[in-house]
Amino acid sequence: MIKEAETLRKESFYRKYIRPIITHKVFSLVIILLALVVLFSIWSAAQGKQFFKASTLRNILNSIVLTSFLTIGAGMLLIAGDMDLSQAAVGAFGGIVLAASIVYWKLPWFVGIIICLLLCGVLGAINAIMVTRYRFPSFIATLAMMSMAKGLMYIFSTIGKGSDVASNIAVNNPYLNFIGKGTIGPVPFGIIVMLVFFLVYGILLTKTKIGLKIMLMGGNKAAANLAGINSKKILFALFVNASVLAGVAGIFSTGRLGQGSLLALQTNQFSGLTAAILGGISFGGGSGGMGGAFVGLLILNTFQIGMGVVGVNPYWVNVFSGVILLIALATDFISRRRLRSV
Amino acid sequence: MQKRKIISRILRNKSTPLIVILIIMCIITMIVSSGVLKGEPLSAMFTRGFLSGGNLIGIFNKLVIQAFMMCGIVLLLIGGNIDLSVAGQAGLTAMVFAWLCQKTSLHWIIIFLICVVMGAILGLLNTLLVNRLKFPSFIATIGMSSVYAGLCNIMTKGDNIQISTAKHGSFVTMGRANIGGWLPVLFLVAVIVLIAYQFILSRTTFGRSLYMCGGNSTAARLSGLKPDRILRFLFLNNSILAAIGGLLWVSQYQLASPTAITSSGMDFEVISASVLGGVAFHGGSGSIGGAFVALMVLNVFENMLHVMNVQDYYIVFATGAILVIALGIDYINAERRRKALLVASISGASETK
Amino acid sequence: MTKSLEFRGIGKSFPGVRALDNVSFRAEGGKVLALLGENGAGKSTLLKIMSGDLKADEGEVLLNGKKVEFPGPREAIEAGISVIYQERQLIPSMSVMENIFAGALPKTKLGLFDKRRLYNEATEIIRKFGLDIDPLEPVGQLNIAHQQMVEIMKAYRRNSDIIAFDEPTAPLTEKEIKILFELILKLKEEGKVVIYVSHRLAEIFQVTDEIVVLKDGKFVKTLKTSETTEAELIKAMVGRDIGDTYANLKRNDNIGDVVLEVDKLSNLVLKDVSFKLRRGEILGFAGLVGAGRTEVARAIFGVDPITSGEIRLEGKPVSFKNPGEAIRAGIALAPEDRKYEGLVMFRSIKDNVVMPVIDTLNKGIFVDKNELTKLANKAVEKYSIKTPTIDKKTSELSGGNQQKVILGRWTNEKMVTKVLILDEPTKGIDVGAKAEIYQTVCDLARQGIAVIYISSELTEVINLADNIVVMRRGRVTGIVPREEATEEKVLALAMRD
Repeated sequence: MIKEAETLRKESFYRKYIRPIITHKVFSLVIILLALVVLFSIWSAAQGKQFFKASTLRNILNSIVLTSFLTIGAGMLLIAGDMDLSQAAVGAFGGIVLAASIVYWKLPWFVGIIICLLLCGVLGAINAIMVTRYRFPSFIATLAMMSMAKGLMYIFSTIGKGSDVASNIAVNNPYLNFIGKGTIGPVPFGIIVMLVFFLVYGILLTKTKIGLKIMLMGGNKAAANLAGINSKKILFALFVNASVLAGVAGIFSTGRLGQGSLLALQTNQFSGLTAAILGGISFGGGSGGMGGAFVGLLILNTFQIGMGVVGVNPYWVNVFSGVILLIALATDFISRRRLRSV
Repeated sequence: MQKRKIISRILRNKSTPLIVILIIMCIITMIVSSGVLKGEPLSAMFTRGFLSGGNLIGIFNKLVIQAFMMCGIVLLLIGGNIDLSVAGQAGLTAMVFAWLCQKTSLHWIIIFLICVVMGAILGLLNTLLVNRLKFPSFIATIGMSSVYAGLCNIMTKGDNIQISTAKHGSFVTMGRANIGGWLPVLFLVAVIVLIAYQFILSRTTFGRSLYMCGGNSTAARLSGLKPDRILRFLFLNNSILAAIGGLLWVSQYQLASPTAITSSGMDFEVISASVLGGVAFHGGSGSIGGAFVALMVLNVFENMLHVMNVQDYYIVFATGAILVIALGIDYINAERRRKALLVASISGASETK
Repeated sequence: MTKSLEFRGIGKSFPGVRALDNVSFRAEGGKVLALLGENGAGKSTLLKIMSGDLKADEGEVLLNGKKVEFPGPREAIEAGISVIYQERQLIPSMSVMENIFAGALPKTKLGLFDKRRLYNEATEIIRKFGLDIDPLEPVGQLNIAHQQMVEIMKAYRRNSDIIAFDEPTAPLTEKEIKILFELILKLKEEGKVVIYVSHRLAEIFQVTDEIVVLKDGKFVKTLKTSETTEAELIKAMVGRDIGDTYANLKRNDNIGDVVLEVDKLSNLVLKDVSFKLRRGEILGFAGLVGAGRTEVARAIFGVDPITSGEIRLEGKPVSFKNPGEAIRAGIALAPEDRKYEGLVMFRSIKDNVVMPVIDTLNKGIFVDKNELTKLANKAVEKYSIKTPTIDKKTSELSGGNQQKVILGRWTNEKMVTKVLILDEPTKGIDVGAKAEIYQTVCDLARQGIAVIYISSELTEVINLADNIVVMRRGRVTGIVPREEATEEKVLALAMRD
């Protein structure tokens, strides 16, 4: 019988409120983040520079905006037990489409946005079909899509242009500029949107029926299917979701750069994935959340910007990311293996 | 009777359709690129465009590097694993080699051997990640590829390192040496290596045990094989071959670049070619011969598009599409095998009785 | 000197389970020793220790009187020990001959792979066995009986001194069983040590000399085959008279009208399967491993496609494209593999119970945590699931409790289950929990639910079911009503070609 009702009343304040916070995975990540901040503050001060100031904080938050959309999409897929390596390419494609529609095809800005998101969604649907209907391993299917999206990106950068040479597309649209660089009060618009998205997806994951289904799917796809959860349908939606979110990243990128760039989002794919895993989203699916992913992103970018401030070769970040990914995966695997052997 | 048998065996060989496609593509490219359609004399087919010395050397040079990588990757794939950091390892080894050439006065052969040892160490690192820590190989190697790419850039902050002809002339000659202006000597070496590895796969008991470990590693282990030990060898072998590939690249181009190899997609192409050439993605079957034919098809295909002045981005698109096709075929085969297994195990259908 | 294999004080634990506890006995050459025990008694674990696949936590293994320790299977094989596992350890993409000689492929003088000699030697072995198998054929394309024979030939080829068979006859036909028994006799004559693990008491009486009984990981007793009876064996295995367990069941006497009718169902592996299921009936499905029973369940549940035939639920033809549709129509399936197909191990009891009915919960797109808790609590209470809280991860429960969670899932308040399909529900569950599940199944029948009960344990099926559908190679070979059901009759139908 359940004795919870009785014991609950007797629980101390510590056990009820403090303990769950401390043992929560995200808490340890926040500690790591704070440790990094302290580290760089001291390091930079020793060099006579200043890391710990408002503009740095804003830089960091700004730098994660683009990646965050990729992280959310990647994270949702990871929890469900799959992955998408084509996001960055699809996003860049979307950014180009947006620029092209405004500059070459002379369409209004919001139509451009709709087309961008729609086409990205289509690419996501193709991913979904390859994985769910034709049972390609998602890793390979999305790798192939990455190639194709890149190719499409080049092609679209020439449609309506009058020449066959692919190039960046400069855009100067006031609404787009606002999206990319505008602020509401002291806070950049992008950061606000990013936080809203994290919040919405976080609630989706933890409090809605779909969220529960996704977590169950990720934990054991076969069992979820046999219990009536339509994993094919959900995976389809998640792949489209990842690609549309990538499109959102592309929109912000275009707005920010003032041009649809062929090189957009190139470095963000890997960090997006790493941040999600770092944030405790288990690679095999079934656990983790948006909160952890958010902190994971902050950690990665704090490290990158911090390194820049103290003058260390930026390429070390690549090495660092790779190593971090492996460490995060190692801890993830070890804990999962312990559970699995039962 | 012998003749008919040979013909039927050729017809049934999985690589035959690929060889046919290869020949057709070569002919098309020869015709289109030589300008024969625009009025050039027929002899131009053999001297300009596709069959011109410069073009062929380029293709063969790339095939040399990829052949070495292939011997490592195909064995790994058959054994049920993969290494996505091959380009990174090759690039890093190349950089280290060039750096040592510049900063020390050692003979290049010694530096070459040092770098091969370095490749072995990287292979052991992979073994550590996959065997000991039990990472799935593709995750571990994706992580490492980023590390290697980063290290390359850190070494020189983005610059290339030249190899001086004065100090290491024989090294550079090795890479440039060719027959008749179109066939690199290194390619002949590569072919020998390919044949050797195919021989190991099909004619030695070690090769057979590779297939067994890849087909079902638990069964292999319970039958007395040692999959862990075999895997360690495979990773070592793969990394050493990748390192050699990188060094040969330096020999061909007389320099080492932090980004050229790692972002070339060469390893990606080798993997696609292997799958297209009959190496099952989950292990247990395939051959070097089939994979190499597919690799030639892939390279000629790209060259064909390039020579026909197709834009680069279309080529990028096409490469992705080819991978999808290769995987599609692999998937269909795997499904067919799975269904056959299921039917056989239940209804006892073995029609040959 | 006679060959021998002795276990002394062997102990082995896994997280949460003491698989073997102080097991000691000796097997001698020239005799066949049967290892008998229920599912979970520890037989498989003992065999794995013997073959070098696992290491014992305590105790020692003595080969011909000398203590041995094997770092891995290869060393055990080299020492002369071969184990033929229940799950065939073959490589499907490779040929029969390569599988028979796996790990010991013949080499030429130059050290190369000697294909010709392999072919000759393999053909010789196949001929000795009197089988009609092509040595070049990929093993994955053989039927299951032949695959098992390849596995046996593999062990024979090794010429090991000590051979253990784990449920070898499950996939075999009478013809192959005869060949197997002749082989065992020959091994006996050659002075080898033979260990025979099986549930089939008839076979044990036919081919063994001694019997060691294990129960719950402990050694119970050794008996001489010629001096014991079936009843005595069962009593030793189960610890009490089996008659009691079944005699005390409160059965359902009120069987209603037909709720599910399967008519000439065929697909990739099934051929013309037909039967009727009534409300409140327990319909047993018996047959050998690989007979196609699970495939019938999957076809009904919408997992596998159907190529011809019809399924009628309450008179109306139905065709489910996925389990979700089947569930909404009132059909439930508890799969054979609890851990990998039934439960989501990382998640709590709470989450696992509500899985099929998530969409029917209150509060629109949100999950009503209170309703969730209420449903889960009710399930825990109904089946007396031993757990301090419903938030406990199902991976931390015992096998019996895990199965109860699954039963709880399919009978929770929000489900309207008309047909409940149970696939090997008592696999890996201890005797006490089994009795509970038997009663639960009868109770469900009394509530009017129609139960399809798939089980490989003949005693179970015969004593629980009202009617028994027997299958063989994807076909129904007979439907036996309870009054006429005996082990021999059902077994005969299960092996009929």
